[in-house]
Amino acid sequence: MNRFTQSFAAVFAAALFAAAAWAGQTRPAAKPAAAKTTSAADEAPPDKGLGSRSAPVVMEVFSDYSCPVCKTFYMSSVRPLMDAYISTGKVYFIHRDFPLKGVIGHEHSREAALYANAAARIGKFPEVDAALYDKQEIWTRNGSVDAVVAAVLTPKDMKRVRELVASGAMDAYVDADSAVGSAKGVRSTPTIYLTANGKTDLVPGSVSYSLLRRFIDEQLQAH
Amino acid sequence: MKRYSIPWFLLAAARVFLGVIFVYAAYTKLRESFLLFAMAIDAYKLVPEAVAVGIARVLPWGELTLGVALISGFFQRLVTTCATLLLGVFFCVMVHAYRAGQEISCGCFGLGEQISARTLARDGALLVLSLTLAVVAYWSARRSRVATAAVATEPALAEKP
Repeated sequence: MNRFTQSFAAVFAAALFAAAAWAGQTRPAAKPAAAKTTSAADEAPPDKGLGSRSAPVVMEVFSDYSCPVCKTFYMSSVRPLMDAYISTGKVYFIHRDFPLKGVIGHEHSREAALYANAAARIGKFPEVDAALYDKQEIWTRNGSVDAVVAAVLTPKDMKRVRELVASGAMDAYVDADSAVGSAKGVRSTPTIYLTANGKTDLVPGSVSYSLLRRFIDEQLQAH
Repeated sequence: MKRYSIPWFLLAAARVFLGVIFVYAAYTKLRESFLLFAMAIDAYKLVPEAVAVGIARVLPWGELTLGVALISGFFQRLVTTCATLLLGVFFCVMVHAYRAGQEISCGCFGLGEQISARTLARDGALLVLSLTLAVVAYWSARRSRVATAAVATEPALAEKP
């Protein structure tokens, strides 16, 4: 290859990269992206969202209560986020149920999701959500979902939760969440979507809190 | 003995193809926040978080440099060796994660593509291609050295009665 051909190839490569970069910059149009942020918040069942709906960052998490990585994510990332970002109106957190089917150890996932949705209906989602993760090792083994939920609710609330679960009305919520997940291409749990500044990013489920916090701060700074 | 050689245009096409793949891989990472790529590296749980962040900052630029160098055809032996080593490392960590049953994003072209038999086959194929280019680059260089040496010794032989 002579010098001229080599120079031409180098210029061609640089032009290719510049064109790709330009295409990438023009891709996320501002308006539809802004609409995306709003729709992500509106789509969520009102009682399974935590924090302010007008928060600049929306975090949508597809989770299975039996999944150990989901528990780790909840314990090491969601809990610290709760104080620093969710309760301060910086992040709106949406829980989506995505109970895995036919997986050993996940036999009670759907039941747990039904209880969580029923609790959400009566405004007790945070308590039941926390209890299901806290006692995951117990109820996934012996199926005592009811007992774990009953431990954090008053007898009156528990009666309503049981009625809602028994009515079968909560199945629609769980199915709807799973359908949203499947439509988005969710294949494993937790799957985390973070929407900010008109752009939705897929965040790895095993993300550490420090990296997640840095990323959220970066998004908030750009807001 | 008959000499077999790969046509130059096939080699050039393979080199440019590999170069474009590297440029595209760099582009998918550079258009996003480096923290997203750092999260993908951190998900492999092979290096400390600080190292993952460092790799996420440097690697896309390395891929871009390699891609441009492959397309341009400069320093072929060095460039194809670096590309092969890099693809070899990628392949090894991906196989390790796949065998460990980690359901993580491969991070090859940004996030969202989970490690699977398909991603392993694709990266394996790229590794074989890169290795072939490296071997051919060294082989060609050796052949030209031998040819040059032969030309240099010819006049000396011709002077002999």
